[in-house]
Amino acid sequence: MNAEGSLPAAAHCPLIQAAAFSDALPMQEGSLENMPLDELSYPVDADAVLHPSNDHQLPVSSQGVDTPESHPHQYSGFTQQGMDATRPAPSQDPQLLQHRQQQQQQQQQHQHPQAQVQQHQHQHQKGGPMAEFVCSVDSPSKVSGASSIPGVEESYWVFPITTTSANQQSGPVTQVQTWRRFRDCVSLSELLMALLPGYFLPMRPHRNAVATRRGSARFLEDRRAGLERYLNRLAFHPVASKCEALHIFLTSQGDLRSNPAWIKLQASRYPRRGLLDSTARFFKQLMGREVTAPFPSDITQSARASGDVFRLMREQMAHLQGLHKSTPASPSELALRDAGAQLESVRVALVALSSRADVLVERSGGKADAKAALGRALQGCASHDDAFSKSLQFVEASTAGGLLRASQLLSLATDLTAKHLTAVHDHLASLPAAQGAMACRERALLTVVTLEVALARRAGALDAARSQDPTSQRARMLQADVEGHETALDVGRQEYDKLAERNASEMVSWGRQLRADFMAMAKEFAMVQMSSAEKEHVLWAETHAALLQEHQQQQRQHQQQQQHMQQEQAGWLRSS
Amino acid sequence: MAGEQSAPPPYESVLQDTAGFFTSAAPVASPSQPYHAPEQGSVHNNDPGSIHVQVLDPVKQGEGVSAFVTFKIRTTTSHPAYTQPVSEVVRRFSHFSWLHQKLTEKNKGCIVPALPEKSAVQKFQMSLDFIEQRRRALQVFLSKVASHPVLKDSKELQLFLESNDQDWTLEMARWQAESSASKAPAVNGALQWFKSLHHSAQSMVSGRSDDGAEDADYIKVRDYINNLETHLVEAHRQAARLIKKETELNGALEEFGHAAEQLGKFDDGPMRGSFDVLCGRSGQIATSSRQRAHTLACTFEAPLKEMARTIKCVQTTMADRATALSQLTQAKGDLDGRKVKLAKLRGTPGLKEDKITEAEREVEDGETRVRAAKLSYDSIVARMTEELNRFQKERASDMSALLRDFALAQAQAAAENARAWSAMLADIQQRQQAAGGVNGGGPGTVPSAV
Repeated sequence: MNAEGSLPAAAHCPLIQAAAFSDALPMQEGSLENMPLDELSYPVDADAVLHPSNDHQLPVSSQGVDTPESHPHQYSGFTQQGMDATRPAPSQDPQLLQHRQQQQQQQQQHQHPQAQVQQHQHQHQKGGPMAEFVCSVDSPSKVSGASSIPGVEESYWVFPITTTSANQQSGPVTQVQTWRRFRDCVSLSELLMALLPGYFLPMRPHRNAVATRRGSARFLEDRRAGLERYLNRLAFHPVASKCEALHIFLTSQGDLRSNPAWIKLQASRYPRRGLLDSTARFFKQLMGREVTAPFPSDITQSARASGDVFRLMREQMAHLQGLHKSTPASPSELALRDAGAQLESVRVALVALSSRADVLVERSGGKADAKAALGRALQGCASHDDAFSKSLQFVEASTAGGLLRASQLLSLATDLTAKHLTAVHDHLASLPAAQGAMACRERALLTVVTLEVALARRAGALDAARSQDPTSQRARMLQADVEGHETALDVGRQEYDKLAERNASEMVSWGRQLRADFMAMAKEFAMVQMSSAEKEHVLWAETHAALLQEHQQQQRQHQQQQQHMQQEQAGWLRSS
Repeated sequence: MAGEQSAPPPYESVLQDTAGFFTSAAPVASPSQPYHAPEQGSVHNNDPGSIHVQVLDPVKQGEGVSAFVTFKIRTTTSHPAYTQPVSEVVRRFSHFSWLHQKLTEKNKGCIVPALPEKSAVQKFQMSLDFIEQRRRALQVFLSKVASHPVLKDSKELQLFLESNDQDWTLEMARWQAESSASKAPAVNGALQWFKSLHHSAQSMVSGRSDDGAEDADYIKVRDYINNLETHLVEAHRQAARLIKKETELNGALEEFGHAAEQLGKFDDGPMRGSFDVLCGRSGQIATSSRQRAHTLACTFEAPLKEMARTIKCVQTTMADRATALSQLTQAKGDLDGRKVKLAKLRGTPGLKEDKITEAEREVEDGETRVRAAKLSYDSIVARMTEELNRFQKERASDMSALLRDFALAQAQAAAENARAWSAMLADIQQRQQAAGGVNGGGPGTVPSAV
């Protein structure tokens, strides 16, 4: 076995020109925006990853933990987690949750809010927008209060939300804490969507009535992380982060639903008239007793939301006739339509990618399991051979140990990979919101087009009526209708322009964000794989060296025995 | 017998190539021959009685169901019994099983190396992989036989390695006749079976088994080996599973890369470049690690399987020993019975002389049988002690070498992977930096609409 004589060439030469890389790699620059801020999610510290050959400690041995002094607040991702690898997945039981909470509190005590903010900002793209604030959501506690059904108590979880203002221009750093339940978050997201149509708003975490009832620790942790992520994503949105509703949500104390400012905002969402009113108006319009032009104040609402049945019917008809498509569109509208089509094809590609990513993570875990199983099988062999040959036992046990450590390493890398690949899932999840915002614009366009057609028809009818009798009741009625339509059309055009502008700018920043996130993802994916492969290489090189040493020792013993025997034989021959 | 290589099938060249790849000292394949442990190999090359065997050139003969594969076997030897220093013969799998059977029959107590198992389904498919796998297993088998201290001197091996086509065809015909003949009269076998049943029933009733008559140390070793089999089988199963998982992971990685490339197509900036790199490189990584998985299957999984099979052979030997022992005990029991009968006859007055003579002859007969059984049992025991020793030593060194090679291969694989991933990282960073300089936050995925 010639190959044993010399270690693989790779063992001697440094695998990675670490220095070259660390120069090329801006620290933390490419981190994912959507990372939750809990301890496990700090991206792999570039330093720890790129200098694995500097410390030849194994990542899984507890001695191998290096905490670079230069980053006292940060976990050096891989190594730190290496130590925790034996720990079960986070927050599976309340004790762990508590433990985590304590850790976080300790962390917060050590960290000045300013530092926390900077760290948070640091994780985001340099060129991208700055966050208005940073939110951290802590573990929820159970509260019971009056239910919507009078006289019945209901219990629910409230999450403490700590907001630290991060915009240095707007004044000194402040920190506010408030308590919100998940339902508040739902109404916040609904309110924001109503107040800011045309913007690509982040998606809030899903509702889950059954799991809420059960309230398992895991579910609560997921929800907590989801809330935190949602709020921090909002913080990066240039418009939504400055919205009054969000401000009230984050800073007002006490129950949100009894907050007057909140109620006012909620009310502004529903300018709709009562059902009776709108039905009466619809019949009057049918009878020709009332102008058919919609109220200008309604135009900013969708036809359905405004409760204007006549308008709704007209727009439905126009939609069926494909009026909004047959009307010649402006170049910007065409570009936006292309963008919308592209959104759809990106969605398809993302669906494929996210399922592949899941498969990849699952298979990677499968390989880690298989390695561990082989390690255990060899351990079985080792304990079986213990009585027979210590040397063989040593060889088998070391190989088994190597396999088990490699398996741990791989499952660690799998976890990190999964974490980095969440960018895919997140972007996929945010697509419906983007598509919804595009749909808002299309609705506004439909309104405009419908109004244009109706106006043309009314104007024609008015001309005809005037030519017959300019002072007739019908002419006056039509006159009012035409004027109404003109006003409505003005408002509608403004609304459409506003939405189109929002769509366009959002599209650009969405594309930029997607690109930034995915480039960071690709980089971090490769980084995790590389560092895991490097550590595995060190591990196996060490194992192999130990085995080789054992082998040489065995051979030496063997030779000595043979020499001894020959000497004995020679002695025996001489004596006889 | 189709010894002539008249029409080489089209895939022959491929197989030859792979054979060349594995016999030559290719860097990957170098750890693939743990059976030529250095000390053994060197000793045998200098040793005057050494036999070096190569199994080469698998050639498919015939078509359809009756198709089979022949192998060329080249022998280089300095053994005094052999007529030529170099000889070449063509043999097929069933010939190997002849050799195995004969060696087992003639050398009771020897641990005959294991043959690869017969696989009707795979034989029918005749895939290149399967043929190559079998060729390698047969190579290991023959090398082990040729380096076995007892078996290497056996006539059967010489016949197998040296005899010309005529002799060989004759021998095969004889073997076929023999095996069909031994199958036909099942009476003898039935009788023996009945006897042994009787014996085991007796020992069950008396609550004593042959173990009492066995060496305590041997029983320890026997139990150890029996348990060892389960461990080795488990290790082999897990090794196979690991290789399967590895292959699956490679597929997933490749698909992930492709999906990323598809997504990258919607970008006209650096993301597209990054994802193209991701796709290309992960494809390369998957390909090379698939090759490594294949090599691992040959160099790690197959030897583990062979070890598990060898345990089976040891168990056969142990079964032979147990049979010999039980025959000895039976013979002793018979003899005792006859002696009692003779004593009774002698004690009975007025009996015919010839009856006593007959009983005396029976006792004598029994005594010879006991002696013969004792002899065969003792020879098995003597040989087995040596053989078990040798087997254990060999297994220890084989296993150590195997695991050492495994660790080395893993280290190399990890190093290669790390290099590939770091190259990918460098590529991606280069692209991103190049792009970042040109259009840091320029037009996004979409043509800027307004």
